[in-house]
Amino acid sequence: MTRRWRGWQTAILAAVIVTLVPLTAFLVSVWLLGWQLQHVESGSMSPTYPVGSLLVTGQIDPTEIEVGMPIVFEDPRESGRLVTHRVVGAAPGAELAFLTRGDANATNDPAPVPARLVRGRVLWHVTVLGTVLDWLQWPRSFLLLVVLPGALLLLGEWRHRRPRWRPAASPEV
Amino acid sequence: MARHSLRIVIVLGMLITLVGGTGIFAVFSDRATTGPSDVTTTALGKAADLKIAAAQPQDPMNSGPFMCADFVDDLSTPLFDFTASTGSGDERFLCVRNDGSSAVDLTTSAIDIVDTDTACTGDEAAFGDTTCGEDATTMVPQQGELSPNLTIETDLYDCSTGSGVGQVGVPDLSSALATLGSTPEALGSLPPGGSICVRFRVFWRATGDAAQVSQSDEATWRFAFDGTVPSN
Repeated sequence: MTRRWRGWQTAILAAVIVTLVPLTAFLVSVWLLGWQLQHVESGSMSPTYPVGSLLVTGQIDPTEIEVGMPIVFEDPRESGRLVTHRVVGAAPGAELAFLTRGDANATNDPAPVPARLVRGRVLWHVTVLGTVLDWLQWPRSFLLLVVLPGALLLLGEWRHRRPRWRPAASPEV
Repeated sequence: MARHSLRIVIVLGMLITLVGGTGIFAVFSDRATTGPSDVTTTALGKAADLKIAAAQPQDPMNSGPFMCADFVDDLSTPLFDFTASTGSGDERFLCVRNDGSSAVDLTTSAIDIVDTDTACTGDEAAFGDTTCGEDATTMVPQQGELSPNLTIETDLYDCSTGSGVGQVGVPDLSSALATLGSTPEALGSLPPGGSICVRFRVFWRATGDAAQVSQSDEATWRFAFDGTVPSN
């Protein structure tokens, strides 16, 4: 193996580690604090949250929700669909519910959001990171960051320990 | 050096994989579906030829065009079919198109309203409901009181853009179902070949005595759209 190749190998691994250390610290912190991560998939909240952003969301008591607050809720019209839009008012009626709208939308969302469908509020966001982390979920993270380096490690061990071929000594004449 | 670095990458990769599997990435995967709907339009003359279709916003959470199903004179499937609790409601969308040769003044109304008192529950009788539940001798359900206590909110949308026609957050039109049965709501003018998308929202918002007497009642009706060629 040439010295130049060894230099490249060291640089690449150093870059990977420098990237992974803060990413791991970030994910572990999110997990420990009980937050959730959400990938922005549509432009309804542009330019506040561009497509591909990563939203860090935390729980909130629906009674503490205020007008202007971006909240995460389950779409009242499509069970299971998670939406992040801004609260623009309280819906009329006895039940606590909110009128919501995407920053880029001309009209309010068609159905009020009952308090029971509120899943949290947006704490902060990171542009582009949503696409990266979305791509890096299981099983890609395991294959790319565990299986591949593990295979490289085994390959290196095998090359290091295999018996080396040496040319037979020429018979003395 | 390389082997040591690879071991660090593996440890970090395992951490990322494990933490990623704890549910910090918000993922939802189930879906609920609605029951059938039923709206019928009235017959019209040749100059005014209204057709309606079930409609669905292309993306309810993002402004965009409505998707209209096949246009017909009368829809055979029910429009609303739900059990309401106090303050609750439901909504449906329709596309209305003028296939006639003249512009029409469009109105909507509720027809064939039938109020039935299905059972005598709670304090319904104590609050003055004299037609509570079934008749003791004929065993036939008596007159209900729900239609005056059901609120119908009507909003108009541009079918091609999904933009609301009226003020955001405020229903364009609102009246009790019983009122809509006797007083049609004007939806504006519809040119030949033009279409408009309509959202109906039905709420049972009765409180106090009205809620007591209209409990365990049932109301059935049809929405009708009428197009009238204005006289010159």
